[in-house]
Amino acid sequence: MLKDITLGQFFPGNSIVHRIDPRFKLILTGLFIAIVFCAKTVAGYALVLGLLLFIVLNSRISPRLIFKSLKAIVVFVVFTAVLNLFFTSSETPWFQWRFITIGPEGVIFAVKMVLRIVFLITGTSMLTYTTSPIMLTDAIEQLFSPLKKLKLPIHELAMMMSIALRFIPTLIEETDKIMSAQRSRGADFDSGNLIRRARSLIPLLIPLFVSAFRRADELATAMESRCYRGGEGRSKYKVMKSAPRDYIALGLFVLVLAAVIVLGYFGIGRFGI
Amino acid sequence: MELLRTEDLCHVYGTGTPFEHKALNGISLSVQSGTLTGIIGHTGSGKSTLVSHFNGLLRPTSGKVFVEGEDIWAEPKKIRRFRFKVGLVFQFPEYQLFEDTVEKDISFGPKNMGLSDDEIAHRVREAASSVGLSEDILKKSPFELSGGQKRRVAIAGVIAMHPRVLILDEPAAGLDPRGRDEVFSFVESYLSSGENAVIVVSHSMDDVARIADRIVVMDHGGISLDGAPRDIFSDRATVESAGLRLPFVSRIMHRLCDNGYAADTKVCDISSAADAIIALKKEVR
Repeated sequence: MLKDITLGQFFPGNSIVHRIDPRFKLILTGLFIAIVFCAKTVAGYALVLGLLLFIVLNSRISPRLIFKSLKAIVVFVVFTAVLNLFFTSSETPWFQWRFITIGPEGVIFAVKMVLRIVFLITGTSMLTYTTSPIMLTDAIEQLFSPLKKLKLPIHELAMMMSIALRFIPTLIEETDKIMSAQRSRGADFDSGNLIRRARSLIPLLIPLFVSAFRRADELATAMESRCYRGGEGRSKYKVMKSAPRDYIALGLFVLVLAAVIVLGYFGIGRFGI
Repeated sequence: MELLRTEDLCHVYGTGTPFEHKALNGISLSVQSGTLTGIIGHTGSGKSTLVSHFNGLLRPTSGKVFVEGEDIWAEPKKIRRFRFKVGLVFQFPEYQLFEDTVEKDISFGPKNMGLSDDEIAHRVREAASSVGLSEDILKKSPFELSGGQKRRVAIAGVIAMHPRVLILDEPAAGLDPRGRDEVFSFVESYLSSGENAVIVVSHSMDDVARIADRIVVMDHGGISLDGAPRDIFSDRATVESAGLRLPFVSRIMHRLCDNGYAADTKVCDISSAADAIIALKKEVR
């Protein structure tokens, strides 16, 4: 069901990871991605894994939930692994048939790619698991606020993003309701060929659009009657303040990035057979 | 004749997740033709979950649902035909309208049944007039109608399938008193042939008290009371522990009792309550 997707969900909590300033968390996520891509050696990968475990353990989010979110990308991971395994050229192949080659290089490359994807997905989803969508868009707005000088509508973009995020669950619920209502009138959403199925979505999509427009209109009225007039001079309910722990976390990530680059440069603990 | 029956029906949402929630807990009930049953309960008591089982929108975790004596989940692939026998009108059904004319929208259900064009046209007109929609509205777009008219169109869309059991979830929510009376009067008229049954789901006792021959009170996924309105309303303690409020008239009668008058708490309509109070007054003198 639509409701069972855990990827990108927010799990409220009060751990140290939850409490880190969202602006720092965004930067840390960027750093984490850089770290994953800079890791080239076994030692580098071990360091990334160590960092990731450190974050996960400190976030107090149950590992079961994290495994569940990884399940969603299993097909993608397997697909990548198989492609890399069969199509990486090798100097000492164990098996060769037309364009398919299986060799040690392929195995190593496949393992590396799988690890990389798992690290990336788990690491970046730690951001959304521990930060509420509202805090996240707030942080994005503040981080990108220098771009306002270039006349980019940063506040409007952030507002649009938080409204969109806010309405995802509402729309999912609405979809469920309309589907049930049309099913009660004999609509059949899950049989027939592609064209028939596409046509069967009309009784779902039209009411959904109509209600989305109605909601947008109501929301605009509600915002206006509370004197919303854009980001100019707007104060914040929760003012973000950075604490020493934010700088410590930043320092830690920079250190790991440097270590990973150094390890790669000198080839310490290189992948090999 | 028995149209609908459930046997020890249970439903659990989100099995195996931290959000696991037992919505229905062993519901057994039977609905006869020619009757109007009111199902009442506070928000989250499981009433909407229960009616979604009656036409097979939800599959019971355990237990069975029978429509006209047939187990509806005996062949899951044929569940659709039971949706035509048990018509379900959802809360705020006006949000399900999608066609460009009222006529086409009402004919959506009959079309899915695979009826002939003549039969569909006939049923659409009949359903529209039974909910009090005039002929000229049929060619209009459902989106230019008023809220009350939209709701009638949506109800007509279900009535046009000629379900043996018509279920309405909060049919009067958000309507003014006149719209409310109209909805309930054509709901009652659906029973006139004596072959069909109607189930009205509501959290308002006042609405249900007026029309139902039988009331089922739900609480925490189970049935806490089941019987004629007079008997239900005299049991104030159980009704109030289910998080509901008695109808206005019953509250007055109970209040009189509390103050030491021998008032009949089984009275549930205004005129007989008035008679009872006048009689009491004479007695006191």
